[in-house]
Amino acid sequence: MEVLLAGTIGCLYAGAFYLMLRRSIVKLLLGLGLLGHAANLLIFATSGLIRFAPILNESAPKAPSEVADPVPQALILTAIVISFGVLAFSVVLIKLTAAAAGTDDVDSLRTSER
Amino acid sequence: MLAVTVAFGFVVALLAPWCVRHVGTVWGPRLLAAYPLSVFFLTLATDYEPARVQSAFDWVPRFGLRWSVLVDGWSILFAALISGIGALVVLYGAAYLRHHEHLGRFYLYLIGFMAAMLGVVLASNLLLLFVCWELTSIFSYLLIGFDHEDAKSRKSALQALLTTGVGGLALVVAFVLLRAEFGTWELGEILGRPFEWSNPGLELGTIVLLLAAAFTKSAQFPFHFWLPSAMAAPTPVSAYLHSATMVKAGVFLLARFHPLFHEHWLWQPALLVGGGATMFVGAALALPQRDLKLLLAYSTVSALGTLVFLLGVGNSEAMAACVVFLVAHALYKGGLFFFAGIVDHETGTRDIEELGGLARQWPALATVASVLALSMAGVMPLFGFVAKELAYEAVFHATLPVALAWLVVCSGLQVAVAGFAVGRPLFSRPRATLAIHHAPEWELVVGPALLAGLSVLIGLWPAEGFSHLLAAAATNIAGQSTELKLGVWHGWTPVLALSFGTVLLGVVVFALRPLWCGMAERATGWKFVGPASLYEASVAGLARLAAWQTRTLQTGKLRQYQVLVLSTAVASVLLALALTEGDLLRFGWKAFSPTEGAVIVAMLAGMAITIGTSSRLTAIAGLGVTGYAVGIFFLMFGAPDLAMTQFAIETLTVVLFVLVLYRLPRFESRSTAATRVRDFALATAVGASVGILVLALLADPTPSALAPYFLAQSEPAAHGRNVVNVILVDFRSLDTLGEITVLGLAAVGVGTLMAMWGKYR
Repeated sequence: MEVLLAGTIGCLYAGAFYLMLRRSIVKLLLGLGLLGHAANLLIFATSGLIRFAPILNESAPKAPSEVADPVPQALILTAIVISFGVLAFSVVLIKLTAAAAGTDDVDSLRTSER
Repeated sequence: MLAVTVAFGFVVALLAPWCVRHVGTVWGPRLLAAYPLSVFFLTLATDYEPARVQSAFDWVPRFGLRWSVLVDGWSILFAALISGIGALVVLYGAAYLRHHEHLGRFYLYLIGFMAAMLGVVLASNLLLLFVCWELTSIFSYLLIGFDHEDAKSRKSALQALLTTGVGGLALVVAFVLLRAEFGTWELGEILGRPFEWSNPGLELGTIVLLLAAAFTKSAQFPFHFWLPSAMAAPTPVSAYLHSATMVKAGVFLLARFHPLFHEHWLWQPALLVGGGATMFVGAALALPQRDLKLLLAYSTVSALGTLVFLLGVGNSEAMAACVVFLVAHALYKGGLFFFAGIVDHETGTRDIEELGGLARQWPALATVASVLALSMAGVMPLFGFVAKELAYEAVFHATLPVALAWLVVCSGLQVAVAGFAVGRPLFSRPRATLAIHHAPEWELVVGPALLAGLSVLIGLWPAEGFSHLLAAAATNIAGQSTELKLGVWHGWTPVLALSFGTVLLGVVVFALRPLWCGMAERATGWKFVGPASLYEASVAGLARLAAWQTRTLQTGKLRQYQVLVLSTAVASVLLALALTEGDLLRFGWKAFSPTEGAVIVAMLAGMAITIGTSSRLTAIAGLGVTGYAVGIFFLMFGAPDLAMTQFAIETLTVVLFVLVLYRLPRFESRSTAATRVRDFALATAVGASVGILVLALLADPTPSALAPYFLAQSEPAAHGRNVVNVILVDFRSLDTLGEITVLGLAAVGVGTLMAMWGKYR
């Protein structure tokens, strides 16, 4: 499982950055979305891949080491929502930028820095 | 008491503009002169024996920074010079700059500089000394660039700041090394005991850094160029900075550390050679100058060289001679700068070829200036003569014949410079072209007159207390008890013959002025090899390097930024892995079920679709597949809350993407094959390093310290059974509030952008 998960996260990172390095600004956004998933999985990996949810009902195991770590989960929950906020804002911003500049090529969007 | 006085000086400086504005340009400066005057009398009243450390108050106790002063002969002598000449400069400046619109600002800088300078010489705490040292650099920058509308003035100020600033950096490192070795910041404790260095390299490093700091500050060759440039300052400033204060700080520092380092093999040779070179270069460069202030500036360089040279000679007699020459030089050079200022002020020129016959116009001033020049030339019975005799004697007794000859030659050149600076303007034939605006006011003349009077008085009748102070100062810097007897007549000695020879040599050099001017003219083509050009080149080079670096790194292309950031990230991960000891990859091999495998395959397949397709909608769908697969993965590994959130958000994301982006055209293939290969390689490298990172993370057996706490406290403390929920809404509820705020802001941003949408449709 560990090697599989590490490989998957690695692949997701690689794919996300490959997309972000494209010239199309839409691909940049798609890469950003993918990067969010990859980062969440990376944090998730720290919880040790335990199958019991941290919900304390009668059937839950008593020893803390047998229950999934709730802290990374809380972090990821926040991260999912925040990355949605960022993504939503970027999508609209980029759409507007592309419309204003008349192109969706990242390399031609340099007017402000000239 | 003295420590508080230094601190108080900065308060006075801040009050100065107010004082000048409200008390007036006549009485305001006079009131301000009360500060240096009272410091002067305070130093005279201070008992400097035995040497002791007085602590006023802690400034930053955590760093060991305290206002503590080291009271001994050497610091008190310097403090007296700084405050005494400072008082004269304050009064002189009032008459010199009376109608300047920024007189208040001038006094702010001047008194601030004075306080900083007092801090340098009095401080016992090395950090305090460093702070004051840097403050003198900054205040001198402001003073030299006082005529800030003049480009040359600004350039000279920057030159002085950069040169002395580099020295300041060296100084702070030297002080840190001293702290590391001695375990204290207090100079009083460092100097007060015999010491064996634990590491000869450390001692050598400290010495080299101290030399760098002192040589830049005291304008020693090859850093001498900033001092003549600094003549762009108003003349009262030049008189102050270059007679008693700023440039002597380096000499002060070297002498202060002399007892600690004088047995080191590098110390005395470096001072002897560096000082000797400066002494000659300064005097030789002075000869062809036409500008009165430049003449004096180069001769100051030479005098500073002499002081360092005498420290390099190193016997206790040389130390005494150094102290005496220091005071003599401060008196006559301060006075001569005052004289140069008066000439400039009343005639509008400082060119000695255009000046002449001033003695007939201003007999009183001529007398004063002549006394000062004769003291500079070392003519009997003035103080300068006494100092020169002592210096000759010291080098004579140290049996350094080459050094003695060198000193005599340089002193001879100084005699000629004194003649150029005072003799020519006063006594050469009157020029018809010279327009004399008005006679000098008494306030301008009183300063140089006082200094000339002192030069006579000390030469003829040295007061007992005064020579005692000088002897104490010499004892402090020699590190051993030093006798000192001031007196004009030492008998018919070889040294007396040398003194006469010096004056004779000076007269010959004086007569040969056309020769020196011709030589200087021929040498102008060689300026590009000088240290000043090196300075120019390095400043310009630095600017070019910065411009090049900005152009290269900040291209404005997002993708290039990403490449830089990602390569750096990969490199640092690899470096960290390479430097980490132990086996990082000791992870377990938990089994996985076929369902879990299938979910992961779906995740990667979604990603592959997103990357590979040329249709936007398909790409968005692929991203959605990956997102849902991640959600299912969460569900399988004990995170139902995450899974629910993920499903909800992923649905929203896909809807948003489709709504906003579906109308754009298909993807085009824009990058070249080479770029794709590069991006692929870089992305793979990032992925690989993250993968290794995850494996290393999973191999770490340390259990979470937080998890047991939250699991145990969830029910009793927060009355909730779903621990993740409890963390979000209870234990870390403020974080959640912040998150909601971020979402709210994003919503406002999206709304605002949508409102602008109409403009572009």
